Order: sequence, then structure tokens, then C-alpha cells
Amino acid sequence: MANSKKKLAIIGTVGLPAQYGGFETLAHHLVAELGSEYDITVYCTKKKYTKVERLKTYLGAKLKYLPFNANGMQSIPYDTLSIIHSLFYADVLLILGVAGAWILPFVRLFTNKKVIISIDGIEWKRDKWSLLAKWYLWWAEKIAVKYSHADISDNESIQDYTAFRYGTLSNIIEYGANHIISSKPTQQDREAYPFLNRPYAFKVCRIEPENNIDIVLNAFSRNPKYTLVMVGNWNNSEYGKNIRSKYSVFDNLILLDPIYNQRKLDLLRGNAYLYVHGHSAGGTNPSLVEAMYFGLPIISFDVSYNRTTTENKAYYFKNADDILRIIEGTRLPEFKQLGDKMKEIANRRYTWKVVADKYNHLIIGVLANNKKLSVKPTVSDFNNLDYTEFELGHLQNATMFFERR
Amino acid sequence: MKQLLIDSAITSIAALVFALILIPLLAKISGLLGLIDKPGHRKIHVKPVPLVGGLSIVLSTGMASLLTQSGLALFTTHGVLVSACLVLFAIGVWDDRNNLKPIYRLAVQALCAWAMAASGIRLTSLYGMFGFEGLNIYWQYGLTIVIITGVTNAFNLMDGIDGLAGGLALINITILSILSILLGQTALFVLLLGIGGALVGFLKYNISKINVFMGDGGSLTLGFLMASVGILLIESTRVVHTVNINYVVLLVSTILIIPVFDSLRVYVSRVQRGNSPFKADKTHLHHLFLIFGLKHKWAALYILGLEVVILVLGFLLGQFTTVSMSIIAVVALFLFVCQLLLLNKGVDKWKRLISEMESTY
Repeated sequence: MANSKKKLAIIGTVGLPAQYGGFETLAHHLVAELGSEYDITVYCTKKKYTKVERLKTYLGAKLKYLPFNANGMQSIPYDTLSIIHSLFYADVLLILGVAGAWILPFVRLFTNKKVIISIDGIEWKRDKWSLLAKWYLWWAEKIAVKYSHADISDNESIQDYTAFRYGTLSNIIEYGANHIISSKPTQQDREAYPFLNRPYAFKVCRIEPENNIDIVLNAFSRNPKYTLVMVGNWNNSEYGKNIRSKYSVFDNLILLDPIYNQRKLDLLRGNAYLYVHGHSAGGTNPSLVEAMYFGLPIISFDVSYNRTTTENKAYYFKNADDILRIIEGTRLPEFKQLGDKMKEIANRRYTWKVVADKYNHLIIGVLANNKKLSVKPTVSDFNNLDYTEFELGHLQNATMFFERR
Repeated sequence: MKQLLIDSAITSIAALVFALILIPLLAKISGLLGLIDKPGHRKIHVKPVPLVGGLSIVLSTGMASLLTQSGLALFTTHGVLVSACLVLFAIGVWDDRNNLKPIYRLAVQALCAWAMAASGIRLTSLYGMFGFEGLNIYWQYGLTIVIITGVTNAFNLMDGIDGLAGGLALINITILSILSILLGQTALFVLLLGIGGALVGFLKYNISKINVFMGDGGSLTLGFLMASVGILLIESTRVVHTVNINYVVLLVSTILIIPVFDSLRVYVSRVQRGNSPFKADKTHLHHLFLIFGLKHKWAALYILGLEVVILVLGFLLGQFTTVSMSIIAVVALFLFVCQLLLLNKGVDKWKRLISEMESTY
């Protein structure tokens, strides 16, 4: 008797081959690691792949194309139609992002397909969205968590939030970082990028206010002894253009345009002596775990997500003074030690094998079981029990894991 | 007719002038009168404000109506209405001064509403709304009392930010006055124009630095008046056929949708939470608008704008479908807008909660 593999649909990414982006890299590695376990279909957007680039299969997974953008307003029809299409053959739907969540109540009502949804990094809170978009995403997140069989948070702090708001337990699955390419600079590289010849701090991110670009640049501009190399899409916004012209007068600040060549980017990243991470939102940032995998010491913006990603072991800053204090007051051996600690964490938690395993277990779990775990312990919720009479009042007031004193 | 227009113009302008003079005077002696609104728990203002608006509106309108024949006629043709309003006004002012127990206020409102019903101003039929026609005498009294009391209280709850209650009253009175003159209710027309003039005077101070509130005295009286006049106008179509009954019912209903359904919505949600419907919380329409960070005057303007949209939309829908359907559609629209605003409230609340969570670990 043929033991057919379960069919998995991966919905909501730009597509494969992965061009950039956390979800796309994730999709690539899931397909690579789990292709033997499941019959996978990945939905892609025609808008980012020209006719010749559109493959029918990739690493054993089938690819289906839709004529919508995967991001922005079009993500709503993009995700929705992908979901509807997948209902005809898939056993499990793995949906990355909540744009199509509105249709999930119907999916649960009319089909018995399993739904796993990743709610990304509390998208509705981010200032890049318009008011209407924020409203929709806030509501969609609620629908996503309530009507999925399992939801994924990429960070413990986000699991705290979903426990607090929805009373259910989210599954924490982060990102892998071992796809980075570690290499030493060649003579050509040193000529192209002279800063490779001396110690430099490195930061790569989208140029947005929520990534604290101004604080970081300000700190380094105050001490010319320390070089900072920052790669980002400066020209994409007025904010970017302004900030770049403001800080380009400083010789120790090297502000580069985006580098899409993985090897080149990893070369510049991997050979820095320090990585500066300014993200203030978005859960577990792929750029941070990648920096950790390089074994780089990390100075990170002080917010709960970054603390949990680095297990509280990195250096943290809230303002430019903090950054200066750290870089001026820490010596190279201490930094090297920190880098080793980061590498240890990354080896343990942020490899694609670990991540794919977690996804695999989640999919198996969801196929076997229908109910989502509540956060409240069962003992605190008996209807017919008079807790105070039996002196069991303390059971009703259990401290939840996400509450801090 | 010409005399009527002249009389109403006089009354209106006189009321405006009286209000403009009276309000600052009364504000100065508001301490003596005991009519000051001290800021408190869920109130929005931060400084003590004189509660003399209602008093000024009533006095100005009263004095202005004494100036003309048509105005004087008010006291004879609509004696019960005027007296009931004054009684309600008195109890409202008493409440402003001494904080009356809500049950007494409710009792007086019900009594005044009953007086209106007994004097002939009562709904004798539902005129085909939702399929119902004539009502028996008990339903007539009961429904009238419930409607008048309900609208009075709903309007009272609307007085939450500067310019809101006054502005709503002004819009509603404008519509009611147009209907009055079309239906030949000359005395009412003069009264409404008088109140309109006084309201304009009041609003000038309500939204200026010399802040005054209309108080419960003002809002209860105005709410009661609007409800009673509305019912009167609907009933008058039995005798006068200058305006199609459907339009009258439609317009009278739509001007009351915002206060009535906002209050109903708030009561229902409180009960759903397991609380008393009268438990104070910040979920009224103006509270929801303030979450956007709007200045109070802008929030009031948006709500007034919503009222106008509802009016116009209801009227337009009435051209294509029945009165009942138009009202249902417009109520649905309003409730949908409220849902969006409540969603925004949720977003705002969680945004703050998350910011707190992000900085503790």
C-alpha cells in the first residue's frame, strides 16, 4: 500500500528561489529539509519573477504563481487566493503573514484542513503602515490566532503578547542563520573596501526610523577613532537621503548602498569586530541571528525581543551615550568573549536544521490534534468548584509566565 | 406668513443677543448660583467650568418669545410642552447644583413625558414602520413615554465635549424648524428659531476660552424638547398634508439616531461585560473620537459631520426604499462606524500595553 506523504502548502512568501527576505529564506530551507517528508507546494508572485525565471519546481517542491504582489495591499488577494487554491489538495496550510486571515473562519467551518499561521512581528504596530492598514492587520491577527490550529511567534516576547491578549500558547520557532558564507577578504576585496584593513563596526538594515539609525550614527560620529560601516537602502526615502547627507561628512562613517550579493555582504559582515543592531520591532530579526552566527559581538537596541534573541548576554543600548560608553570602555578580548557566547547561542538555536525540525514537529502535532493549548491551567477554571470554600483560592490566581513583577 | 417670518426673525435675533449678554454675566455669578462643574474622575475638562449654558438658553429664549405675538402664542397653544420643559429644566439645574439621585431625575422625566402624552402629544401609530400601524392606548402612552425619556437621557449623555451637544441640538432644531413651518406649526417655528438663536450665542462661549457648559439643565431640556416636538410633528401629518408623512418620520428619526444608538450601544456593551448599564466608562462616541488624539473641537466637528451624513444619506435612501429600510440602513452604517472606532480603541490600548511589555524583561 502506498504511504503517500502529507501535502503541505506554503503561502504568503514572495517565492522561490529566495531573492531576499526572512520568509523567503525560511521557505527555501523548509523545502530543502522537509521535501522528503512532505509533498510541498510554494506559492510565488509573478511580479517578482520574469517569465523565464518562473520555475515549475524547485528542490522538489511545486511552484504556483499568482499575478499579485506578495507585499502591500495586494497581499490580501495574494494570500486569500493561495489559501483557496490550496484547499483543493493540501492537508496542511502553512501561512506566513496575516493578510489572508479573514478567510480562516470559513476554512475552519467548511473544511478540515489544518492551518498553521505565523503572525510575523506584531505588524500592526509598525509605523510604516497607514491607519486603515493598521486596523486591518490588528483585526486580522486576532482572526489568525483564533482560527488557526497553531500559530507561530518568532520570539518569546511575542509569545508573551499572544498569551496575554488571546490566552493561548503560541509556538516559538525562530530563524536559521547557517546559510551565511564565512570568508576572508582577498586582495581585490581589500582594494574595493579599504576599511577591511582595520577594525570596523558593522550594521545592515532597512533605513527606517524604527531601526534607530540616527542614534547609532550619532554615537559613532562623536569618536572618529571607531569606524562604522552601514549598509542600507538610503535612497529609498527622504528620511534615508537626509540622514545620509547629514552623516556623510564624517570620515569614520562609511554608508553603503544595498549589497545583494550574499558572498560580498557576508564578507563585510563577517570580518567586522563588532555588530550594531538597532531594530526596535519585529520579533526575532534574521539579521541579528545571522550576526550571532558569525560569532560577532553584538551591541543591540535594548528591547525585549533583542534581549530574548541574545539570551540577555549581549551589550544593550538605549541611546547614543550608551553606545559610546560600550565601544570606548570595552577591550577587544572582552568583545571576542562576547562573540563566542553569541556563536554558542546561534549554534544551539539558530540553525535551519533546528528550525525545520520544529516546523516538522508542529506540522505532525497539528495533524494529530485539534485543540490549541490555553494559557490558563485547567485547575483554575472549574465551573462547579467553590475555590474559596475548599481553601483553593490560590489556584485561581496563578501567575502567568508572561507576567513580570 | 410675512408676519410670522418677521416675528421669528425678531425672536431668533433677540434670543441670540440675550444669550450673548447673559452668559458672561451668569458665568461671573456661577459660584453664587452653585452652578459650577468641577473636574472629576471620568470628566474630560481640567478646570472648573460654569454650568450656566442651560439657564442662559432658557432665559434668553423665554424673554425673546415674549417680544412677539407669535411668541406669546406659544404659552397658550403649547402650554403643556413649555411647562414640562421648564419642570425638566428645573430638575436638571437642581441636579447640576446638588447631584440628584438618578432615580428621582428619571421619575420626573417620566412624569413630564406622561404629561406630554396626556396632553395629546403621543404617538398614535407607527405609520407602517416595520409593518406596524395603529397602536392601542396603552401602547401609545407607553411608547411615547419610553421614547421621550430615552431621547432625553440619550441627549444628556451626548454632552461630553465642547460644542457637541450644542451643535447637535442646533442641527436637529434646524431640521425640526423646517418641518414645523412646512407643516404650519407656526408657534413651534418661532420657539425653535428662538432656541436656535440662543444656541448660537451659547455655542460661541462653549467653544471659546470663556468656557461654559449647558449642564444637565440644558441637555435634558433640549433632549425632551426635540423628542416631544418630533412626535408632535409626526402626529400633525394626520391633519395637515403639506409634507409626506414618510419624510417627517424619516427626518425626525435620523436626527435622533446618533444620541439614541450611541447610548443603546454603550448600555448593551456594558451589560455584555457583566456590568451595570450605568457604570461609567469611556466608551461613548466622543471618547472614541478623542483616542485619535484630535483636539476636542475637531472631534465634535467630526461627530456633527457624521450626523449630517446620516441625515443626508437617510433622506436619499428614502427616495428609493421604505422608511424602515432607510432607517435600518443608516443605523447599520452608524453601528459599523462605531465598530471601527472601537477597533481603533483596541489598537491604541494594545499599542500601549506592548510598549510597556517591550521595555520590561
